[in-house]
Order: sequence, then structure tokens, then C-alpha cells
Amino acid sequence: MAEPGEWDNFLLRYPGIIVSGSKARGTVKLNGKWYRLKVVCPHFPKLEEARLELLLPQQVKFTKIKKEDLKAGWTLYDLMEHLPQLQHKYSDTANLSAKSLEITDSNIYSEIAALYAPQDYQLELNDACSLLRFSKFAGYERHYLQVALPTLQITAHSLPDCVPWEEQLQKYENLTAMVQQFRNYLQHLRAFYGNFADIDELCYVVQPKPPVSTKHNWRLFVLRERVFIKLVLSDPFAPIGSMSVQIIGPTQAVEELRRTLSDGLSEWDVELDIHKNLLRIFDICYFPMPPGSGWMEVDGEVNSTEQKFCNICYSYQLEEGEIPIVSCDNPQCTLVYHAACLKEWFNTLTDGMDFLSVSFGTCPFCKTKLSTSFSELLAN
Amino acid sequence: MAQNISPEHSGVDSAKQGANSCAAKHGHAVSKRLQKELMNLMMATEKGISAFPDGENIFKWIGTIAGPANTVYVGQKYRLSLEFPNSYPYAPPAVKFLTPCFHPNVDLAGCICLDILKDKWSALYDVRTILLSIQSLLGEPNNDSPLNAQAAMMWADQAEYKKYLDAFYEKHKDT
Repeated sequence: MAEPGEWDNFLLRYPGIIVSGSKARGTVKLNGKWYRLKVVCPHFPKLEEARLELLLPQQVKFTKIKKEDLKAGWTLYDLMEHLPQLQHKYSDTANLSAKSLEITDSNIYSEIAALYAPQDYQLELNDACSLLRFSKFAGYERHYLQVALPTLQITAHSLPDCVPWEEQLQKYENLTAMVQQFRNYLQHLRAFYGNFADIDELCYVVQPKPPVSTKHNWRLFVLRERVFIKLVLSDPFAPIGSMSVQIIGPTQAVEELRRTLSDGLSEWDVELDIHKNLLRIFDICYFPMPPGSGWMEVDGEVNSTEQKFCNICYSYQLEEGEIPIVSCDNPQCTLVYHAACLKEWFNTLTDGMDFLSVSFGTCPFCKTKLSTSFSELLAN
Repeated sequence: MAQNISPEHSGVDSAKQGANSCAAKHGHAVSKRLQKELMNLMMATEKGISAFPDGENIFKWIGTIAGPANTVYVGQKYRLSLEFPNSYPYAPPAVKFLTPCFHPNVDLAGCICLDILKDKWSALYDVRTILLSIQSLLGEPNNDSPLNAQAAMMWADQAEYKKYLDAFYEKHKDT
């Protein structure tokens, strides 16, 4: 069995390779050309019982290297040195067109060149040629995919955080297939993003911090004075099926609105998007808009959701984008707080932890109970 | 071919850097709150209290309190130091009298026995409410937990107390 330290020299010589146990995979550059390979080498550096696969140009799947093509006594180092000859042997050059031959004699950057299609997306490469970014996809301008070169590890993307996209996309062995799958995902997520589009445009979204990124699968927006809706779409591929709607606000208002919501959910109209269904359920023409937008409040009065500072930190918006919306059940108490500031305050109280587990706590000013619905905000 | 625009790097900071940035972020939030408090104090109409940062350090303030009317402390003026911890406003500032103060709840070192600066602290208190509380403490001491036993014993006889107070301040007028 190969010892963990034995691979060190190999990795120094071939930095594009990633090792996990006795398995190695990645990209190497030899004689100015790039090769992608997968190796299982239990007796490193000897090739006994080793399994070797090579990705040939113009191919999507790896090709297994036959044992008979390896000379007796070869180590993994010898194999690496002879990759160009092996690649040549396994490539069916007779059937390749002139264009394909051109790419065969090139490297991973030729594949990038082939992928460069300005009408579909923008392709960016950093100065060190170590990061490649696909962005401004046609019809999905806010989306991007970023990969490290030459390992093709995904370093950043614009898809919702609630799904392990890296695992899904890393299954694809070449860049072309990876980008194609990314674009397929964007098409499948059309309904997911469409449902949020009206909410972002026609509601006062207080969290996440506007402008909301494509990575968030939830919104917190104003329903009426001191009352908010938290909408979460857990599964981006089945937005309606995975939807959860929570009412957040003072206890009395929450109880009343929860009943309205549960009655309305039973008559959900599948022809309408989430925004229109919620308007129908709460029997309103539109949700309140952000302060200064010139829109009217639901009850016909001018929008009164003005910016109030948090009475603990004295600021309006925290760096993470949170604004103070927590208020107590006392209608005479006008103080508001950030959920994060309140959490910090409760934690400094001697019995803070027990306090929080029983309920969300009491207003630091008037000592009136805070609605347990606000504890949902601390989940973020 | 490829436009030479650098994509943003998404490197993960080490835990140490994360902790440092978290502390720095919190310190920034505290100084922001203190700046707001300073503005509020400057706009406030309260007579007999004021406070200002001591030099460049926003975490260290000097406050002044005038002795409240209709008390033995009327006409007196006191300077106090306020030192704000990084955990402010979740923890109270350390407040001390710089001017010698003869009072049942103030010791000779200037330390103050006031519940809101200890276990009854609330994140909603600020410099203004602290100074107002200390000002009202001057006229209404808590003789059940004195730091200055002599002052607590003398408090019952206000005329005698006033006489002693004048002598005390005559003695300490240079400080």
C-alpha cells in the first residue's frame, strides 16, 4: 500500500494532479501538450494492479490503457513520460478531420477556444491562466460558472446554495460537457427564478440584502406594518412542491394570518405563480413597496414602512444586509431590533441559552414577550 | 480570444483570519454606535450632562455631570471617565469619577455602585442614560449597599452632610 508521503515528489512534479488515497486524477502538461488522466495505483510508484485511464481529444469518456502497452518494470513516472506516445497510439487519427487534428496537437486552451461562443456567453480568463469564468449566458445574464485550470475544479458558480452543484458538475470529465450541463440546469431552474422575479420586483424584500443574488432560495418581505412573510423554496427543481411560507411578526397578527394562509393554501392555483397566489390568499391588490418608491400601502395609506434604526446597535442595515424588523407584542412599544443584535443580547444574559430554548425572549425595553415567529430569523 | 479579465478569486480564509476579521467587524460596529451616541448627545437638550471622546480613542470618553438641583450636590461639577469594552452595548462601560466625590455609593478611587452598570445593564442604555442615572444617584443614594460607609452614615442629617461636603470640596478643589 502506498504511504501518504510517497506521492509528494510526484505531486511536486505534476501539480495539476489531485491525490486521494491510492487514486490520482487531473491534468498534466508534457512537451507543451495537456493530458487528462485517472490512475489507481495501490503500489505507488509501481504499476502492479494499477488501473489507468486517459482522456483523448474530441472524446467525452476516458479510455482504459491496456496492460500490454506498458513495459515491464515501468513506474508511474515512466508512464507519465510516455503519455504522448500512448495518446498517439490510442487516438484513431485516420478518422479525425483536419480541424480535429488541429485540436489534437493543441492543449486544454484549444478546448477553451472551441467553447468560446460570444453569442451564448462571455468567457473570461485571468492573467495567470489559472481561472476560467463563463458568464452572461444568453437569457441568464446574471449567471456564471468559474473553474480552476488545469484541474477543472469548480471554484464559484451562481446556482442556489441549497444544492451541492459542484458534486453534480464535477462528474463531467471535460469542460464542454460541464458547461453544457450547467446550461441545462439554468433551463430547469427557470420556474424557480421566475417565482422570485415578481417578488423581487413588486414587494419590499428586506432579506437577503438587495440586490438579491441568484444563490438565495428564500425571501423575507413585508406583508403589512410589523408583519413579514418568509418564503423558502427548498428544492429549486420543484419550487411549488418544496415551498414553505412562514408569517413572522407579533403573536396576535401571526396567529390570525396563519389561519388565512392555511385556508388559502388548500385552494392554490397552479396556473398562477407564487406572488399572485399569495395576493389572492391574503385578499390584497399588492404588497407594500420599499420606502420612497412612491407606491401606496395595502390599506390605501401612503407607505409607512420607514427606515427605523435598531435600538441596540443604532444602525439600520448590518453588513450582512439584515435590517431591524423584530418588534414585541406590545403595540405601544415602537422599538425595533435586528434579530442578530437580540440574539447577541440574549446570549449575554446569565440564563441566555435556557431563555432562548424556552422562547425567543422579551423586549429589552418594555419586557413584553417577543413572538416566537421571530426565532425563524435566527436560522439564517 | 479570451478576454483578459480576472475572475474574482474565491479563496477561503484561514480560521485565524476569520476570527480577526470578526473581531474587527464587531469593533467597527461598536465605534459606529458610539459615533451615533455622540451625535445624539450633541443634539440633546439635557441640562447638566455632557460627554466627549478623550482624544482620538472613541472607546474612551470623558463625561461631566452637574450636581442636581434641590440636593446637597447643587453647584458641584464632576468629571467621569467612561471606557467602553469591545462587547458594548452587550456589556456596560467601566465608569469612574475622576473628580473626588463624597457619596455613599462612590468609593475613594471613584468607583460607582450602580445596578445598571452591573447586573441590571441593558443593551438599550447609552451614555446619556448612564450619566442621567449617575446624576439622579447623587440625590438619591442607595444606602443599603454603600461603598463609602461614612457618607452613608452621615446622609440622614442633610445639613451636617452639606457642611462636611463643602469642607471636603475645599480640601480637594485642586483635584
